[in-house]
Amino acid sequence: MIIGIVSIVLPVLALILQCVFAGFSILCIPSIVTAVFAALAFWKKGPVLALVTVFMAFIQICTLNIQLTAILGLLSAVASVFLMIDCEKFREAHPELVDPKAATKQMIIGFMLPCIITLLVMYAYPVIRTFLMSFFDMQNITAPIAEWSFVGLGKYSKIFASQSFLRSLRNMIMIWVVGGVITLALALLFAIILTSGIRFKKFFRAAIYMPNVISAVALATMWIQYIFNQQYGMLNSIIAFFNGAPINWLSTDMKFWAMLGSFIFGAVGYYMLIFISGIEKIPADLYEAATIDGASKVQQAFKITFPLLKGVTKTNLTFWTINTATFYLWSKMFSPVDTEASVIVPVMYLYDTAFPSKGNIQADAGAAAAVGIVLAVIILAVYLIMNKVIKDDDIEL
Amino acid sequence: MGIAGFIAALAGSVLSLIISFIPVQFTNILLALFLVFLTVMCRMMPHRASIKGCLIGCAILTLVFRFMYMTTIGIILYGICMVAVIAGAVLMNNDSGSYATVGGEKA
Repeated sequence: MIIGIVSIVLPVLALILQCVFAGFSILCIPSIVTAVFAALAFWKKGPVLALVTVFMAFIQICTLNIQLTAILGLLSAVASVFLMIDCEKFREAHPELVDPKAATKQMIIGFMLPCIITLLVMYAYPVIRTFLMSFFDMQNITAPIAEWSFVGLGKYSKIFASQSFLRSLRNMIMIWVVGGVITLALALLFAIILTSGIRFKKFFRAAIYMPNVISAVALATMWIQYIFNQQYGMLNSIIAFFNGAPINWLSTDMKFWAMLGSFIFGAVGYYMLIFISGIEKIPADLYEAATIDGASKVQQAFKITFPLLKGVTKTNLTFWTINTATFYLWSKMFSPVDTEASVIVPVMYLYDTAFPSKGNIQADAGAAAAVGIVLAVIILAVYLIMNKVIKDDDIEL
Repeated sequence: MGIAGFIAALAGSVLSLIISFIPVQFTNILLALFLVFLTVMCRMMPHRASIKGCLIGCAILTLVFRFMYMTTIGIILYGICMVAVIAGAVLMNNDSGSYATVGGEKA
């Protein structure tokens, strides 16, 4: 009896003190959940509910950021352990109350709940908050909800009226279409070559995948300094060898294409691996039958490989779309100081809007959230359209 | 096997407690204290599997929730400690089969 009340009171006390000293925030949620589960465990005399209480009380220690409340969290966790033992003893003393089906169900729910709650707090909360933020005006990204003022679709109309945002969307579409065609075509070509039985397959596969292992920052720096540099870059050295005039690859007109080229170099290996896994799943019998029927390698590629790679292509397209929509680092590396219109992308616009680097520009977290929502909608729309357009052709064996 | 499990779990939790003092990280100290408490409880009540379950769950949660606040060396050391705690809890649980269900006395 006493231990049950103590395990309910302690998280409530921790919650109250946390609110008094630091104000209510997301950090208080584990304390609320602990108190609720302690009450449920005490009421139902459920050991599984008490077990969840122990886990939540433990999480509570991590989230309560004042020493006094954290100690209360620890005491609450200790009390929950005793509550769990108490519940178990009660169940042992009253075996007639045990319903095996209900116990199994409780066990499943009990073990899934901490995961679900963590997922909701860590994932769903930021998503919902971002969605809501896109309809409000606020000083900065951490402004409390009480300071938000509703503006309806004002932030959306603001970003779509911004030339920078429209330019960033245009750049993103260019990366998606042009970069996508080149990257996926090259990846597919390499995948077909590497699965055609050539020698040193493992070496070539590792060599093509290598840029993915290197940090994108290092890769971009190498491209900027060693390939595109106007004086010492490899490209201009080749041009100079043929007595041509050096080109400023990092000028405003060329910068986007330079960035796209280096990005494609880094991305091909990843998509190639996915294509290889798809090709290796195609039964060898089909190729043997085609060879006996007199089909050439090119015919086999067009009649067997491509049609049976629809599912993999869809996966690659989805990954490419996500990659394009979240494109940021390469853009930042190619315009490190001030964001240049030629390489601006939506995520960069989002970042500059939420955290402006220039003192005279006001941060607009609502508009930044609206950009995030627009990007999410684009990814979702592309995925749904691709699901409708490209149907998987399952291999029937 | 039960004693080996207890020693492993206690060593893991006490070591994580010591690590938490270099430098002093208040939350880590509390988490490690709770792990020590659970380890002792596991030894005191060897026939209760739920406490060992708590110990394993809390060891995993320690790593998950403190991951982003630790340095690389801290993550490695904590990882080793938590693996020892989990292994100890598993060993203790395996050993609980040799205990009679009534009174916790060895069969």
